[in-house]
Amino acid sequence: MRFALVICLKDLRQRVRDRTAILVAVVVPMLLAGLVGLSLGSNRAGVSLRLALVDLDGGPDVVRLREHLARPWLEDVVTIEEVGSLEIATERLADDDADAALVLRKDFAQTPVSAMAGTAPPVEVLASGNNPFATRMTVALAERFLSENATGGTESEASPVPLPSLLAVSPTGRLRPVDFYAFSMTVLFLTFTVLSGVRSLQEEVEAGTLARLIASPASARSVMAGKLLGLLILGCLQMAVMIAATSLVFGTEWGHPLTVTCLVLSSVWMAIGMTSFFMAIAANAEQGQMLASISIFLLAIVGGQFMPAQGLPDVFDTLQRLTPNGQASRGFMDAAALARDGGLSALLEPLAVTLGVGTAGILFAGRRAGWTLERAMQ
Amino acid sequence: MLIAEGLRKRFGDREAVAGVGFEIAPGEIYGLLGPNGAGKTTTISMITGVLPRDGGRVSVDGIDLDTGPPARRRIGLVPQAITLYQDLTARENLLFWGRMYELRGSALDSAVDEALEAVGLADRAADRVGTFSGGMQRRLNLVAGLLHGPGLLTLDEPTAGVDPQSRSAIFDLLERLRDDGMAILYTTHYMEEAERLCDRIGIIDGGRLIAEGTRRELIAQLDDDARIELAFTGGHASERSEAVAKTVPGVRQAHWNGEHLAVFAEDGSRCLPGLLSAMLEADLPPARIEVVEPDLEDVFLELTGRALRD
Ligand SMILES: Nc1ncnc2c1ncn2[C@@H]1O[C@H](COP(=O)(O)OP(=O)(O)O)[C@@H](O)[C@H]1O
Ligand SMILES: [Mg+2]
Repeated sequence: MRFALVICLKDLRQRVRDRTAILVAVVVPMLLAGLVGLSLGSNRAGVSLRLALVDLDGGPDVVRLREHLARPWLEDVVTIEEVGSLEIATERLADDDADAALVLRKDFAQTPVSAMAGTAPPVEVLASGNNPFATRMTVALAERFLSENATGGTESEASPVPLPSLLAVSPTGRLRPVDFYAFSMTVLFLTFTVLSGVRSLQEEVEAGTLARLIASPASARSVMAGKLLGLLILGCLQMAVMIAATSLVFGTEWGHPLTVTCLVLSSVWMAIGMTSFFMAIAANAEQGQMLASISIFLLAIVGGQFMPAQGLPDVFDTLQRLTPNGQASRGFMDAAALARDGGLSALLEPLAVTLGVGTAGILFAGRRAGWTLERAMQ
Repeated sequence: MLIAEGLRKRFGDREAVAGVGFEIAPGEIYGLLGPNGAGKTTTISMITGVLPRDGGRVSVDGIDLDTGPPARRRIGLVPQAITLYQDLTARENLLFWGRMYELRGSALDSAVDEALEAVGLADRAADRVGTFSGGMQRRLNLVAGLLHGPGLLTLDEPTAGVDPQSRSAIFDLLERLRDDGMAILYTTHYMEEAERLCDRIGIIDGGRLIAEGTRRELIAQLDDDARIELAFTGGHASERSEAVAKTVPGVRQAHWNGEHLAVFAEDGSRCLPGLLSAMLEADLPPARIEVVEPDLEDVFLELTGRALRD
């Protein structure tokens, strides 16, 4: 453990010494988030949700649903029009007079929530197809309503559908593009910072310093532990600085400290795994850096880190969920959206994906490392 | 201090080291001399535990290498490459390597100060290694392996690319350490270095130790053999002279090194007339003929039929 600490401190000292790298790691994402975010409009432009509400139940629940949708933090965002039938709702959607429709099915009040699973959904969301963001937000609201309905107002573990993946809604009730970019650029540049650390590890192999480390009384395990610890701390530092900076400069609210901490750790883990994977399949540090940088950019594009998913076809939403970096960004958005309610359950998917990808990448690179060392000893 | 027995290492289907063994006593500098690719680095890597062995045993000060830390802290390694962190200062580098060998507190500080002093870098201690000349980096690279006061110091071609001044500073330091009782393993492909520095020399080629002894013992293996050097005028002599020389009775080896032909004969003066007439017959009149006292280069040539540096 002592050796691990010595190595970790040495690594951090090396990273911190690289002043330009630090500047790039913090200033560039801030500028990007600021410029792009603000140029898209700092407010809730285009983020309003026009909801057509269809009440087929006719019971008292619709009142509760209305109350649910009338929360202060939604009032700037959601406008509700109650319509008489499914047909009218469909028409509204087709005419683009509504972004989504929420249908409360018949017998909604009579069906105990515990019996709902497996049957036709008691609440249905009609999507317009040209505004998936609105759809997702409506689904999220519906799920939230359902889960509160099930347990009389508290968080439910028995909610029939996974809790929402809501877009970033800051406590003022606005999803601001700048917040979206704060989350996604932080994740993107986290990956680059971690990449620089992973690259330095590969350089130790190439320079032969790793050979010297291995010859020392320190076990291979403590050498690896020290390296990993250094990367973790490096990533967390980068995240902490970015969270502080975006909060101060843009007023971005990141959410409950506990959920954010979990997401930070899992995102850093993901970044370590992802970058070490690319480094491990490359022939040398130079090539690894190239390969990883290009892949990170491609993944960022696919993962929707350069543009908010709103207004884009559903397939982008799926793509975002298929990339680990997309999941990380998404996790942070959801965490911000859920800030007032807390709750990790909605973050299970991003947490699981990022931790899983991170672990897989680290294991893969670890197995490769022994072989790389022998090759580097020539 | 060091006992290495039957070391083996394969890379794929290439046997890089095929049964190398030797011993080094305290206060002795042992030279491992061989051309590039002979297996020197691989041997040193196995002795220092950097590479796992495919076979053989290593013990240091009576402690088996496989016991881990107890053996490893008795070994100092100076790798062939400059294994320093370019973005850290000289002192930071040494502090780090000292800590990796379990030095702490004032023991660490004084070891680092001493080391910097020993290689004349005390006044550059606070400068980043990246700003150092090649020779300075080499010297620092060397003392980084010495901080913990190992009983066995292993150096892999530590003079590669250094200026003559740094080289003799390194030699002086190694001789001092030897006189203090340290056992030193020194690999090189420079015959002159091995001759000048090493008490005993092992000649390694193709992963095998092909001869071992003091310089005197090794050269004595050549019996009364002599080396005859022939130089030619005109560019056409080249390799052809090598083939011609090999046909002369009494010639054991001949090697064209690009400048002159080195002929290795059982009895120099007896062989000389035959050699001369063979050359004239082949229309290769020598411009200069010289009978030279043999050196380690000749030992290598005699044993392998090749020059040390090709
Ligand atoms: N990691 C490796 N993978 C494959 N072959 C290697 C490796 N390391 C060394 N070799 C081969 O083993 C032989 C001995 O190499 P080495 O010990 O580095 O020689 P030297 O240090 O004497 O120049 C060479 O033929 C070299 O190509
Ligand atoms: Mg070598």
